[in-house]
Amino acid sequence: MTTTPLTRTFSKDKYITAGIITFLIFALGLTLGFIIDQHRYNIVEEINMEQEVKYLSLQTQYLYLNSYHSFNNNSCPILSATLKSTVQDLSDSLSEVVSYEEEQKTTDKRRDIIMRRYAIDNLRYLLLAQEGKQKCNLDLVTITYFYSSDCPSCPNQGVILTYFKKIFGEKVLIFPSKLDYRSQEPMIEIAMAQFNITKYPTIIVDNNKYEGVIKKEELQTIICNSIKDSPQCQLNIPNTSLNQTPTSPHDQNSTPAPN
Amino acid sequence: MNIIIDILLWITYIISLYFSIFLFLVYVEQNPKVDPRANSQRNTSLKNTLNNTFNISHHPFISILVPAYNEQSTIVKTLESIYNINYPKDKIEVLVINDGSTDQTKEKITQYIQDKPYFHLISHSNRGKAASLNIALTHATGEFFACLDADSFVEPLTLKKMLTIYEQENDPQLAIITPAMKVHEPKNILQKVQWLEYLVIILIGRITSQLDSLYVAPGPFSLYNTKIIKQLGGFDEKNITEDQEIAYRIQSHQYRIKQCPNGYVYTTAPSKLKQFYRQRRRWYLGSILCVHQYRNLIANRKYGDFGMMQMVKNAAGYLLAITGIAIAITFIIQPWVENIKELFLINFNIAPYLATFKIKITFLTFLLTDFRKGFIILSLTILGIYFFYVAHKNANEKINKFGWVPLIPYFAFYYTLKATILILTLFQFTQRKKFKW
Repeated sequence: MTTTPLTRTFSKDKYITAGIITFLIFALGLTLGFIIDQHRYNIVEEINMEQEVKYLSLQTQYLYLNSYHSFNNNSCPILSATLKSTVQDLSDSLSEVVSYEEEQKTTDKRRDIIMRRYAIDNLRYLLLAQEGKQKCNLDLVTITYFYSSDCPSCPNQGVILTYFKKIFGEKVLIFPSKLDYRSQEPMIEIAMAQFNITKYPTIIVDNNKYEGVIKKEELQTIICNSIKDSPQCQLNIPNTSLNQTPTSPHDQNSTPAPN
Repeated sequence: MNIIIDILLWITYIISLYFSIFLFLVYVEQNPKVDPRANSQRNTSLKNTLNNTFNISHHPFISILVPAYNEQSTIVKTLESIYNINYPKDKIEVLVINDGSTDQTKEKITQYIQDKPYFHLISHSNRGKAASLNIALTHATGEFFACLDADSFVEPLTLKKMLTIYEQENDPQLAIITPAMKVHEPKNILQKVQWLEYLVIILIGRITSQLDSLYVAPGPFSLYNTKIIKQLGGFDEKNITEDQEIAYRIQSHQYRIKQCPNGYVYTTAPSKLKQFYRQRRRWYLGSILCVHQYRNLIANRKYGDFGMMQMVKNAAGYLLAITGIAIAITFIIQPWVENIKELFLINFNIAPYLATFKIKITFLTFLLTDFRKGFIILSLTILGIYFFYVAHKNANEKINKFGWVPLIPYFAFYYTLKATILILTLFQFTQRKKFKW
């Protein structure tokens, strides 16, 4: 038996090569990330501009019709269609961007601006929608949803709202308002003061305030009371209203507060 | 908490990527087909073994040790596989150790070996596998010896293939030749998933062997140099995984371990989750104890690639496992819990979702993915799939030998399951540590 110890090899070159390749992949990923960031900003910019134009168009339609006192059944369908499609856009493309921005851990100015824009957009569409409802007698419900990221039960309300958006489609317009940005955007503060928002989540359905998480069945009753005719309501109300007392369609921590 | 998980994820991705690339580089260099100029002695012997040119000049005497404890159902098949080994019968002795079996094992052995004079039975009360092997080792006269668990079966040519490596390496420091283990007749999905895993282990073993960094000498049919093992004091009877401990001890004494990449041995894989959990828990606990026992080898330059790479990797494996769980919780379990909670909120009425369901993949969706991490994950996935493919080629098996179905659990959650068991074992280890150390 030989006693000479094994001469161990140490693949120094491979460790270095592996290190370099790892670094290159890492660097390539970062670079591509930055390039894509740029593209993303451009696309977000486009979405914002498009949204802006749509809003202007809608606003002008209102102003125009208002100034000629010609709100009638002929012009209302156009207005209604524009309103619904722009709100749809707002919830589709922009909310996707917004949820992405919210996931990013870094805070930058661009993100703050996007979030402010989104908050304002939601509130001004709410105003237009309410106006349209009054003037054109549109058969739709507006729901303003006040929530905050530090509220654990808020996602539950979000799920229920999404569910009804899926059921009622264009008849239910939901305007989320995230209170995290109220220090940056005074408009959120104004809306909060107007509805006297003290806890989250709070939803405003056609100017009626409901605090706390409103359960599926209750919200269905509330929505159906506001919509004149919807096949979903006719199908489901008999089931749900049986176990509901129509006078108090809320749980303990939610009190109706007509505004 | 999210930030910790995020940092942990980044570290894990980069470490995993680094080791994968390192293994890839080693594989590309040692693969004879890729690099025809590779003409070193080691590569030649490997090539010869792979080409089935195992003409050994002399036939050394071989002892085969078969420890058996309550193995009445498989013992005869195991002995038969030894009987069928392609090797001169006068150059083999088989020592079957009945480790105090309480079933029909002893009777089955006695009946099988009665007309085979080179088979011997050693019987004693139950002492454990390592002790049984040590007792048999005192009787063993072979220049080399192999152990074969009673749930494993050896291919007839494996012994000759292994001896070819001993002969061609011609290195007195070479202490163990390890086999290439495959799962014996996988029947259920758990066994089929392990079949896939074992093939990848063979490939990793082949690459690790090239780096002289093997850290386990599998129980089924590792071929040991009797003199070296006796000199080092045989198997550690206190260790729960004596096959890992012996490999670490060999490495720490600067001896060598080589893998015989096509020396196939078939072993029975656990078919039930509970058995699987127990087996892995034993392996991982053994591994933790070994890394702990031989911790002075970690990042020790005296031990070359074994100290600098393998030991570091074995120790870092715990970080990888912890992160694996963190990934599983954040990306798989948590979203599912959320989904189920959400389903309760809408009374499981998913019809409206299905009615309005649209797969919408736009350029924006693509832009909104986290590209920085995504790129590293993509690279890792490509390397992983490449290794998976090469592992099958290396072992001469088709990827869909048992259909495509086993690939789904293998890629989807098999590694998470293994990581969970490792974490549980680590936890138990730290609990024990309080009392023991």
